[in-house]
Amino acid sequence: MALETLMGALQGGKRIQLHPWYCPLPLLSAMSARTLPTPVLAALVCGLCVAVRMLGWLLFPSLGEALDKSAEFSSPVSSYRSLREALVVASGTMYDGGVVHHPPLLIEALRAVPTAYHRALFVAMDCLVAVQFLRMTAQIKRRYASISVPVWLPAVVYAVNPLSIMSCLSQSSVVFAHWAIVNAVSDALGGSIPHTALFVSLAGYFAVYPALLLFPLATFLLARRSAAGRVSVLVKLGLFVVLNAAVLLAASYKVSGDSWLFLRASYFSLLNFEVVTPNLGLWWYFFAEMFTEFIPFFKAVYNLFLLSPVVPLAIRFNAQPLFATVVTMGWILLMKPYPVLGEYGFWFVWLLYFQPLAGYMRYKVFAMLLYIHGIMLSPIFYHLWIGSGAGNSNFFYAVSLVNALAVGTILSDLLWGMLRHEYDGDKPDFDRKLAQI
Amino acid sequence: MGLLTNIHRKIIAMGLVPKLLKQLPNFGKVLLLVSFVMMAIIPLDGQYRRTYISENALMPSQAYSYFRESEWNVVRGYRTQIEEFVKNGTSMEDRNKLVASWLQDFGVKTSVYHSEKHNDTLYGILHTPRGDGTEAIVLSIPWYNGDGDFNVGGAALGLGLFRYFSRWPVWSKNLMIVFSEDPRESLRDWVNAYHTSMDLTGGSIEAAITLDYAGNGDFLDYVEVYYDGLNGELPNLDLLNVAIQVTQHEGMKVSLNGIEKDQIDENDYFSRLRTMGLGIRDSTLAGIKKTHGNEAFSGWRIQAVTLKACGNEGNIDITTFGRVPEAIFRSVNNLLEKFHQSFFFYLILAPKNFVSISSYLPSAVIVSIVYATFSLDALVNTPFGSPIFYNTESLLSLIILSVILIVSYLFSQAFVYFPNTEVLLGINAILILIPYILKQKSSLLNEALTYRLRVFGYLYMSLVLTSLLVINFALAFVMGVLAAPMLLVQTQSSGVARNTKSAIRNIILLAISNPYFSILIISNLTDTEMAGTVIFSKLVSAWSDLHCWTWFVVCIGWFPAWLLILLSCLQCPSSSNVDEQKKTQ
Repeated sequence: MALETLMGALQGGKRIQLHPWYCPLPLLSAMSARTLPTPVLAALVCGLCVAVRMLGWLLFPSLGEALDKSAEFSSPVSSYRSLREALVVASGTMYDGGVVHHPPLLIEALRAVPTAYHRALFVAMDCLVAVQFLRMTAQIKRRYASISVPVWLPAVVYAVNPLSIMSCLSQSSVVFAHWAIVNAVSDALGGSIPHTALFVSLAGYFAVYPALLLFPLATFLLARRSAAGRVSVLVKLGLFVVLNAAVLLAASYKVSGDSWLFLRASYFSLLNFEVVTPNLGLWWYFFAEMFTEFIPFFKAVYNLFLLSPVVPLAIRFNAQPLFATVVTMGWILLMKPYPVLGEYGFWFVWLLYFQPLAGYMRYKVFAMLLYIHGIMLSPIFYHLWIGSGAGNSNFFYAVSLVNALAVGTILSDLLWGMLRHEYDGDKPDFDRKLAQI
Repeated sequence: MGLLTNIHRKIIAMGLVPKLLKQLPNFGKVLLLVSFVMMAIIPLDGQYRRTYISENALMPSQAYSYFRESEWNVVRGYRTQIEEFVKNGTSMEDRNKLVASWLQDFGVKTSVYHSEKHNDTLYGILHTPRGDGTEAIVLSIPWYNGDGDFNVGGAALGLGLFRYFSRWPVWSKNLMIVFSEDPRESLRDWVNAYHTSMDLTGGSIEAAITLDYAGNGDFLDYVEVYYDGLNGELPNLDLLNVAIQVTQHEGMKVSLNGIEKDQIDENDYFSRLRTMGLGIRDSTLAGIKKTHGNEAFSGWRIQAVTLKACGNEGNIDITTFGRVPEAIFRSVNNLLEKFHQSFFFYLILAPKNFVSISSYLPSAVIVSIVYATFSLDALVNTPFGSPIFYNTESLLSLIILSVILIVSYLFSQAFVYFPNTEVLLGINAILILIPYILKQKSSLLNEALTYRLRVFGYLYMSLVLTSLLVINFALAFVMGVLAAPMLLVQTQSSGVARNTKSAIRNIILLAISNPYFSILIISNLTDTEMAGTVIFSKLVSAWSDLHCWTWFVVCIGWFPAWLLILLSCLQCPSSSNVDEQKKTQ
């Protein structure tokens, strides 16, 4: 009630509808009938999603657990292993041991679900993401006539993409952030400020870094508005986000036993890279090998590096909000401290929307080969280092670099493609190239 | 930059890029040749290095060895007792019981591991008087050696050594002695159980020495050292160096990779090339061919070598052979941390010569690049104009590849359960001939697709080789070279195969690059142990007994690539049809 009055006061006494707050489960609001383009298509995609994942479980019963232990699919902040650790500890003391890094509301929500149903829950979340892709693709196609990708394709690619499947089998909690991100983009496309704010806050709440998507997403909402309207949109969006974040954090404070420890465990530990563990990202090697005196400096450098291009990208590509969003997602993926392959699988789906740029991209095959090699070699080199003891950490970091190079190539190629697209205008001229191979 | 831009413009202006692209197959062939040359120059003077001990703490043969004539009577006594076993045909249980009681006499804690599938293994631990007992060194003595001979000398020597070790206070690691029935599955089973389920353990095993001295002679000629682990693993070069150094220090000659006695002393280009070649062969076939005992320790971070006493007319006596494990044990005992990291990848050219990974890996990388080159060639040099990678044909090829992968996996599993060599070879013989039996044009394929299938076939092979490179160099290199004839296979519809001569050439190329025929031929040519089709049953038993995954690498790595190339040879509707399709796209 207090919230409502507050919002009312902010709006100059005019009552606005605050759907997210009054809907008991944001999940339901996302699923409500208004969202589905064709229920049949949605059912098919869900069916495919469930079937493929169930097949994975039936054929390889122990694969999920193995993936949950692998450096590629599991990180301290997203693995089911550490989540399970949290579930056996009493709510008030979860963050005392320094093992748990998941946000408290997520843990409490999963605590409410019996462990036997967790697998089903993760599959259901994947289905939600796939269905949301379906809805969003329809929205995107309505908005941009040039995007010719079939409505069902991104959803199906998400459903059958091996990286997503394996991420789901490993019950990685990245799926919650993904769900929030897809919803946020979809709502930004729909022009709903409160919804966008809610889902961006949720995404940030789950995984910190997606909060940065607020900037590119804001450009969705700013499009086709007067200068005064823009200011009002920005103010509203900002206020909603702050409000949402405040409520989420306050609720977290309550459920974790009136303690702010979760802030350190779930958020600061990410920014500060407190769990030094090998993964496919660029951070770990530095902090495993670096002289102690330089560690704070490089932590700052990495964080700044991650942060700095986000706003410029949003400003430069304000006419292409979707592009700005996807590039920002890719950049975060490249620079974040604990990336997992599940997030790559999610990100690749978004690239489908830029099929019109494909003609301009110069290193598609190269990037793909690089990426495939990275994925194939990373478990091998990890084994050589940790398993057989014949290699060392340089082996695995070399693969991390290959991976980063692949993502960096895709990103720079995408940017080049978009710039050429803007230059050529409506008439694409793919043949004008410096060197064609 | 200006200079580079100029060159770049010149290249464009001269139209070099398309000309160079046309030469891709030749470029690939040259690369393959370069790879061979790079391997061939390794044994040249100046290309290889002398071995050295990288971990200073090891200090091989720096301490005086006391296992001399005073212990001779002990060894001889044990030997007489063990000869009784042979004479009386003592059962495994009684033999182990009796030996356990001997070991207990001087304070060794013993236990017998009863394997469910294989034979029993007796093992004993001599707990260290110094140190915390978290690390152990193993002396492993198979009752029957790889040739099936009773290991009389080895067992007597092992018992004598342990009795002698027990009187010494210098040990800072637990000492373990293991009597397995054979050096293969029983020992492997024991090693697995040691790390998973056993009660009596002595900490992590740092090194394992297998002693093999069949017969009851007093003398020996020379020592063979075996070091190849399963799945491409090698023991740390330092341990191998210590073993060789100590053996030579005691005045014995060392033979590696089964070099004959009369060739031991040779150290010229050809002898080094031979040792290297045999090393690559043995590493590829480790676990598949006769095992010596060190293979069983693979996969658990244990450095293991086998010492085999050869001949019985030489003038080296048995205690001299015993001083080798003694000195190795003392060296490893000195080790404070662990074996040095950078010496797990090497090729041995002579007992005292080696090359490290940076010298030989490039040639295997090049072999992998050759496949990538031909893949690029199949993408670029088609009759269909500018290449588009992301199209329907690629998707179709990808789906076909996935199906073939599943089929190959099921096929490999099926052969493990029903190992019938005739059926295996029969199926493959039919497969080879299918493009020429099937006169009907397949409506599933079109010419563009056959090219795309080749792209994926070669690309897949290249990926497999790249993944294998570091983990199992020998297998990757051998597989890459043996499969190379498939690079020259022509598509049927390219018009080349219409005349008989090139059709026969295609069949031959397909046949010799077929994984099963290829390994059948090469194993018969290079290894006397592999007469006939015995290699297939050995591959399967290496998997089921030792978990050596060479069979699956062949079936899931090589076979699918070959099948894709085979599919690309099928007759299909001619290209005019395809052109129309292109236009409609």
